[in-house]
Amino acid sequence: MVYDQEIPYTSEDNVNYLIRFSAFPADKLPEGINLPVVDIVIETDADFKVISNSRASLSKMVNIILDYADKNNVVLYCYCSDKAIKKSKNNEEQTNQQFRSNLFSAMFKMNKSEKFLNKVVVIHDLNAGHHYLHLITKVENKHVIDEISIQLSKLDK
Amino acid sequence: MKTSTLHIEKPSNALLKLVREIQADKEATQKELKSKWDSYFPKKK
Repeated sequence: MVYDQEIPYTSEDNVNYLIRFSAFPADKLPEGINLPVVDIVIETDADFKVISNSRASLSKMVNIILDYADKNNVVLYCYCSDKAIKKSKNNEEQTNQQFRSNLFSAMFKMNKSEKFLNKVVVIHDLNAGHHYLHLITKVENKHVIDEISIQLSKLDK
Repeated sequence: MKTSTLHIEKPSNALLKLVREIQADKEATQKELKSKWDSYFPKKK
């Protein structure tokens, strides 16, 4: 598919990452969403329990993602994994998903551009642990993020 | 970049099913990417 892409990246800390963009099936999207929705998955061969990245490395990764969002008029979404991740003592109370979500938002805050929006969706799940998703798009597509939020809110009992 | 948060505190079963499917898809994708690792990052001899 035209939106599907894999981008390898080796950080200055010598950590390898593979960033995959893949289109969410259009037939599973709610009505009224008139932009492609593209999933981002970031994978690394490093151990998340010990990995630490420089600000420059994270910034480069953010630039790859935002460059994609800029060139393709889409809504990006990222589901935060619950896999183990290195956390400082101050953040030990957070679940792995919550910590990843906060890290993801912090990464994007480093980019000072006013061109994009980041919407965090927290879906409460008492059995499996709360789910954290991020929706990222250009400011001009705010109406699509709003529509997705409305559709999701309809699924709140 | 502006950030805002939406909380879905009492999700319907349909939404929980969807988000758990997304979670499973992510895990499957991560495994698939691992299997391609050597083609993107060949080991140096």
